[in-house]
Amino acid sequence: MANTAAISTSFKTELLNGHHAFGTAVVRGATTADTYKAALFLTTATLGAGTTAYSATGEVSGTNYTAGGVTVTNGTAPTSSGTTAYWTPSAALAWTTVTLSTAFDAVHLYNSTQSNKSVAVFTFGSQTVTAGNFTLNMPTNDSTNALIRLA
Amino acid sequence: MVDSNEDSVPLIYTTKGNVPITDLDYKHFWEDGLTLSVLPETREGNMSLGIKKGGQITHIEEYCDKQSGEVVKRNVAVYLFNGMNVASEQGEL
Repeated sequence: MANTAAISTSFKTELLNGHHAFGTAVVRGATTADTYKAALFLTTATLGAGTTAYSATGEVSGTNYTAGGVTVTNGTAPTSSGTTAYWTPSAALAWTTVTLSTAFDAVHLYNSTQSNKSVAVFTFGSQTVTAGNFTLNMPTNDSTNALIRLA
Repeated sequence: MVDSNEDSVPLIYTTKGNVPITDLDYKHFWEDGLTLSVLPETREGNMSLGIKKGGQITHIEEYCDKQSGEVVKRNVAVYLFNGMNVASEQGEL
């Protein structure tokens, strides 16, 4: 079993249905951006395109790690260039002074405002952290590199 | 008044608590990302090394106990170069 890097299929549908709002110009119950979170998952987890919502199953655990992960800094609204719309968190995802002894290789980005609906799963090389920091630095926020791009 | 810690060795947080940094071996290395490749010869007959940028690169710092060699602190920083793309498709009418 392994994690698979993928934009969740459910997310694509939910975009069309207006379930997600990275920006503020959305006519819904509220006009504020939703809150997104990022959680780390073990190499033995099975997240992928079929993941529809956050679940603690397969999530890492350890000293100073809080189940559910960290809140994503969303200081830059989605924008577009050419025919590509894109969005990237405005700060790195960081877990400080954690001990995560069991190998993990995936981060699950999900919408904690909208019933923890899944956005995407990103994978990286298998890692452990010992009494230290784990940081996921974001790519350049443009139409060819942004974290999430709708081309 | 003299600060008693003025000349002390800095401490660093590890699995064994706060340890003098001089008691630890430090190393750092990169994983994944950059790939070295030999680029084709130019018309002038020169070959060159190229660096191909992958989707991510990871920087790892490890502090090991000098006595036991045990890793007592490990920091990891992943640098994502590219996110993911959702390609829109148009259905047939």
